[in-house]
Amino acid sequence: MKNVIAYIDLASELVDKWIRYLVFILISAMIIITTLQVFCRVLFTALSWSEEATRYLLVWSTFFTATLAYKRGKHIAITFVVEFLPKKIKALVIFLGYFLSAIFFMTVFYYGMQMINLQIFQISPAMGIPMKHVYLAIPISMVIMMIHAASGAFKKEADNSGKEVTI
Amino acid sequence: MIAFLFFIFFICLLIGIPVSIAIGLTSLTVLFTQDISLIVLPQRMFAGCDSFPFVAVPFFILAGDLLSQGKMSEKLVQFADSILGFFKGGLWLVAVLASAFFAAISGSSAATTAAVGTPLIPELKKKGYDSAKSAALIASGGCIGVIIPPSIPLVLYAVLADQSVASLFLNGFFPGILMAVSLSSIAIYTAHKNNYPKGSEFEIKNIWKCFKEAIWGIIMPLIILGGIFSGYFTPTEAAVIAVDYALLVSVFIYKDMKLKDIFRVITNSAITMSTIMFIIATSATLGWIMANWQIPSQIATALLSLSDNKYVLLFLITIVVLIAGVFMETASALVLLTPVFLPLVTQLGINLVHFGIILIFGFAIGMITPPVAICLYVASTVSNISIEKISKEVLPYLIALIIVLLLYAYLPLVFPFLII
Repeated sequence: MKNVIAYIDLASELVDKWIRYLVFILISAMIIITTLQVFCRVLFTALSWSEEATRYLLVWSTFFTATLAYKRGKHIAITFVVEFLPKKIKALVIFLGYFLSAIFFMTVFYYGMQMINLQIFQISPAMGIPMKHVYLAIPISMVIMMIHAASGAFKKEADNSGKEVTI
Repeated sequence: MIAFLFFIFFICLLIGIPVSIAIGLTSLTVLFTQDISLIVLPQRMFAGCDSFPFVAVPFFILAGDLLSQGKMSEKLVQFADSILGFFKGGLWLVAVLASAFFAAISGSSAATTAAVGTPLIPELKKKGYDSAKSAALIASGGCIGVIIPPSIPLVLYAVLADQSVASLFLNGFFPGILMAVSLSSIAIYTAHKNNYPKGSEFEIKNIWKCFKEAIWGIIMPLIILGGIFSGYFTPTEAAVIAVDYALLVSVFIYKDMKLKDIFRVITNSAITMSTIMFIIATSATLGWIMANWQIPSQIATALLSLSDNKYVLLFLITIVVLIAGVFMETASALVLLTPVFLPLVTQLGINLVHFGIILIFGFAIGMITPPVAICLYVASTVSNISIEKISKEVLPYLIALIIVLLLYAYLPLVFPFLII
């Protein structure tokens, strides 16, 4: 059992590292393509594919970065109720939280795959890329979330410091 | 059905599940018990964030983060000080003015608070201003960040309520200026009462010097807002121009960022973005469920049976928005309340642009009211003063902002020309 947990932790760390690079690439691509869109429209003619490309990049970066945020406990959560609980019950409640979240991830993963199978021949209107590649961000990110959830659920001292960071 | 929905949602929230996942679990349970195919879940999640105006969200966050960490905010504050510093309590006036100005560059209140607080709080301390009072003022000034355009919550609202981003942005100026005026009058009054010192002397030479150093920041709102309002850029394009500009200025002109820093800032601001966009994604399913069961129109009917007076209901709505802002963070409050209120507001004949700004204004006030108060947290971090101490000092500003909100909620009903 200990070994399994160690492997899950390792997987969680490794995937997190890769995803950080992926996110950097996705956001940079969004910046470059939208900048290109402005320049091309002003200097030459409007690009037909740029808006669609950035939209899909946004979907990808939303789902993949959500895994980074999940691992770091950055998703906005109400933690002051849990903090009040006695230690044993607190650990149990946090475990339950991870468990229920994992059910959500698993469901979205399963039906995300179904959605891909259902629309296997669909292609995007402007770029003509297969939509199954675009949709793939959802099931993949859900698997990563499940790994992070498993790693978090079996952590000794659960680091559940949800912070309200945003706008 | 409504009770069931809320019950699951609150249980999930109370045991510490993140808001976005709690919304997803609620939708999941409803779909499952109502025997609707769960394939709706990934479909709506995808469709929820697949929108070009939303691309402005990561860009505005990134531009704000780049600027609040670089030297540009420092230079802007120095420039404001050179003009207004000679006043008694002038540095507080500088704080409000800098917040309003930074609000015109950044779309977020947290970034505005950080950008103004980081260079100004040590300066205020040195000049003998009360630190807790200064932090409270800077936190309150930060609220202007989401009212004066550009504004991330206004972009979110525009997509959720199907309104024009540019029109919402344009209407943000008036309440934003009202906020700045009310905050600075209280600040000056307090400073006079406590006999605070003057800042830098008024010298044309000094102003010119600071102006030259700050010029890169000063022209930025002209590019962003000028581009949007002239119709030259879409708001999303203006947001990417803001990012490009901030990158160029910090790498080539102020030289305060290396490639490593840029990687860190980009991934960190992406995390901030994803916490918002993931809520948008999961709540799209919940929105679909609510629309399917006509829950918003049921709530509208229930509220209309209480009273059909526009003024009374607008007051009720404003109070609900303020309370939601106390306990919820802006993006979650926005995605939950916008679809609920839209049918009611439409029936009352209230302009949806006006309503959008009331909504964001209410949530902005929520940013200085604990327990969930992002501006207080940021001000506390940059000033090293506890949130409890700052929250006490924030009270006069809080009251002033609530009065301004009520004023802004009713004035356009009497003078419709206030909504452009």
